[in-house]
Amino acid sequence: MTPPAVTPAGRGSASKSRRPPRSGDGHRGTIRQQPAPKAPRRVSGPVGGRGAGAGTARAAAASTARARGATIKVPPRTDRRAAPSRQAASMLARALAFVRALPDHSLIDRLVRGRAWIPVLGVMLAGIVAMQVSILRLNASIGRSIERGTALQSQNQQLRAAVATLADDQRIERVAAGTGMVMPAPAAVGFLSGQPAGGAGQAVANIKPPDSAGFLASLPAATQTDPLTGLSASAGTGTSSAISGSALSGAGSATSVGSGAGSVGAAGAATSSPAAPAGSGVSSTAGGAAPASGGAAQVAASPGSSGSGSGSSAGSGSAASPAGGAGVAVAPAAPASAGALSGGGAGIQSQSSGTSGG
Amino acid sequence: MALIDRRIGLLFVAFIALLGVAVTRATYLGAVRAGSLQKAAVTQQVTKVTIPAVRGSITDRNGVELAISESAADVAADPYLTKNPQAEAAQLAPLLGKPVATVLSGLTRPHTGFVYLAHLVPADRATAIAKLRFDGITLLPQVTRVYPRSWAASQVLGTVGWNDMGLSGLEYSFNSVLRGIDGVRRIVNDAIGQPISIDDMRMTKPGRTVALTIDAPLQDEVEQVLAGVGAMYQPKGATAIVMNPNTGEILALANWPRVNANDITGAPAYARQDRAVGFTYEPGSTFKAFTVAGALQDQVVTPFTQFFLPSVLQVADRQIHDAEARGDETASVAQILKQSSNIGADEIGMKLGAQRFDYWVHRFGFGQKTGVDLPGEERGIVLHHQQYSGSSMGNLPMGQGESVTPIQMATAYAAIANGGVLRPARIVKSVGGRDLPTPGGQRIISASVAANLRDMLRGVLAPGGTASEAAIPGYDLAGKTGTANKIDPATHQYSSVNYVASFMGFVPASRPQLLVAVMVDQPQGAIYGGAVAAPAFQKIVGWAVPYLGISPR
Repeated sequence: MTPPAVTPAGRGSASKSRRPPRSGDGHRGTIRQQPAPKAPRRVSGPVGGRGAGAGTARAAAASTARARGATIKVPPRTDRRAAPSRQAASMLARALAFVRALPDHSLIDRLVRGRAWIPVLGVMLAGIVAMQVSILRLNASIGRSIERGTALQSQNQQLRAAVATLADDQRIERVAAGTGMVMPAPAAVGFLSGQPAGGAGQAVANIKPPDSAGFLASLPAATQTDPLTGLSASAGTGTSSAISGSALSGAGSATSVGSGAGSVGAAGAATSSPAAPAGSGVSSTAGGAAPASGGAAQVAASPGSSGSGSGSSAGSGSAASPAGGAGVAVAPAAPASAGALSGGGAGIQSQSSGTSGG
Repeated sequence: MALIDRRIGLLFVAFIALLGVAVTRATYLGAVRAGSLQKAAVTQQVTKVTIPAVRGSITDRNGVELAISESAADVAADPYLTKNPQAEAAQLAPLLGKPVATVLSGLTRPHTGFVYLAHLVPADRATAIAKLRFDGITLLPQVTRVYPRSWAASQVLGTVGWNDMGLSGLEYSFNSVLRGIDGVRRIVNDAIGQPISIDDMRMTKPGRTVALTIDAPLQDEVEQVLAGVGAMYQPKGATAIVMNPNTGEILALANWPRVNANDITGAPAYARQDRAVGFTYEPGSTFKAFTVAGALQDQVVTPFTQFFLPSVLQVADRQIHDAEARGDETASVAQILKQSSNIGADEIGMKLGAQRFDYWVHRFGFGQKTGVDLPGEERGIVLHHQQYSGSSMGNLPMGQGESVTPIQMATAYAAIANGGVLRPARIVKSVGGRDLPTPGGQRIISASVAANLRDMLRGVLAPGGTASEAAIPGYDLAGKTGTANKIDPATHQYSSVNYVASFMGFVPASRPQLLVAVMVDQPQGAIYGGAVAAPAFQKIVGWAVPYLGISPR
């Protein structure tokens, strides 16, 4: 309950009680009220401050001079900047007075005395609790998200490792060998000079079946035998044919195959992997005549380079030399034993060497 | 009315009494037992977990990942909290990859509240273990290193220890870059152990990726070729380096015996060494090119200068022979290189003089590290000319008496191949995506002298040369064979059965784009560089030239 002393009515009673104190014996006091000291009459200029003082001094000096009949120069006014600060101080004082009087305001009094603040307070408390619960839920959610992120990161790392393992060139070679593809021996890949007509003829003449036995013998075993022999393979590099398709298409292998069947030839072209590094482009198309003849076969085992001329291939015994290419590389065809390559045609991988004629 | 007031008063007193009890209890818990309860709360509800930083990957020059990190976990148990050890051990053992008895002994270990059951358990298995929800089983997050191409460049990549510290190879030398900064996570659990607050007190900073100059497919091929050499000649070890002589970039660096990087402890110590930088040997005839280079640069000889070559050359107390017995003859400098005449090399060296010979040996970088980014590089042993004995000039010019590393030889030959600029080899292309600057080179011989040398080295693979069988039709190859006796540790004399066969060559000889160095330590059955190492060079070049799109001539 608001004490009556701070209510307007109370103030009224308080003002009434502002009487001279009575003495303890019940007699009226003999203290005489002193009249309030009057401030000097304002003559001119702003109230208070140096300016006021200066004006008073000037007036006094002028009256004194008039009294003496002398002529005295009154110094000019020098400071008028104090006026705004005085106004600000006045406003501050009034604001302070308003704030002091605010608890006694009737509107506040009615509000505090009323019952509406009880549900307001209850709602606010419930809001605080709800907010706390919400924060806890949010924290839990963040925690789950962090854990999920960590799990996904872990899964991503595992997938990266799997991709890197699948992209192992030696594994791909083994898988390719399992499907009948053969890498020509280094010495079996010849480079010719860049005359288009003569080069193509010589390329055709140089076509020989690759040494599949030598290639297969050079392949590392798929299972680990003895790490010191160097003929062992890493774990997880089995020659499962079930995964060969995806491995060939995604691993960036330099091994591809064209076939007598047009559809397979197209598949071979699709195996030119986007993951293959620049400069290791693989020419794997069975040339234009290949599907029609049904006999074109190609082993583009020795990857070409996009920087050294465009590789091209042609089936059915016709070699296409790149226009302007300086050389032609001839990759002998896969052995007839390979099922996919049994069409009997010869595949030619053409590749410019860039040495002469450019 | 008075009765109601009295009841209200009693109720008020009762509430006041209860409130007093509560306040007293709260004061007791909050003041007297505050310390112990706070500790208990922190222990039971608040945990700080170190989140290991994911170690940066090591990739080849095209981004093929050679070393990556995977999440893993150490599995620990609190035997005090284990309720049914036998049943839990039976379920945990297959996931941990350990015998049930081993796991059971861990779960029942007395007088301890913490036992490691397994280290670096793969993430999928760790997840399965977590799903079992056994009391007292704790998973501590870790990161394990995985090498997807288990056998590729194992000695170059190196190994990582349990605490994610590189122990050898590039993992060691670039550990500070690869490792990253571990994070710290504060987890507040509720009464049933569910996390209600997870704060990253320190964010995890993953390690940076180190990209090598190595080309993964070429690396695989070189490893395969070396494996063939190993299978055929059963050497003690072998090393092959393929580099771009113009930039010093190492495109492949293989060692044999091969080591499975995922099981490094399964290989003997000598197999784990990166022989390219850590193995020193007497280079033998491959060193003659530098003797001739110095003599040409000093204008002591020309490629056509004729030397009389006796069948036996007496130098102090030594008698020098050529590899194959012959009579006295006269040969040009080019012929001396082509036929790899020991006596001819000595004659050229002695004409050059000991001081200038020593100058040129050091000028080509022997006796000092090349500066390649691989750790454990040896300097080799090269005497100062003031330390020469009377017979030193009888064996030093032909490659005996000095000790070099394969990387030194490759770097020095690269100077001949690129026109006379000695440039440090480099194997790290970029760190964190930023390319490292190509180290500057230092011209040591003129371009014309280098061209003359390359022209003379063509003869080695030409008919009549010591490596004529390594020639490839259509390829313009140049190189030098080397066959050097090893020191017998028992007698401290040159062994008559143990040799180092080597070959240094490049293609195309006129404008080399690729340099291949092959060193085979103690081959069995054949000993000559032309028979053991040159065929490996041939296979590597035959594969790499079309792959890299290099002109063969």
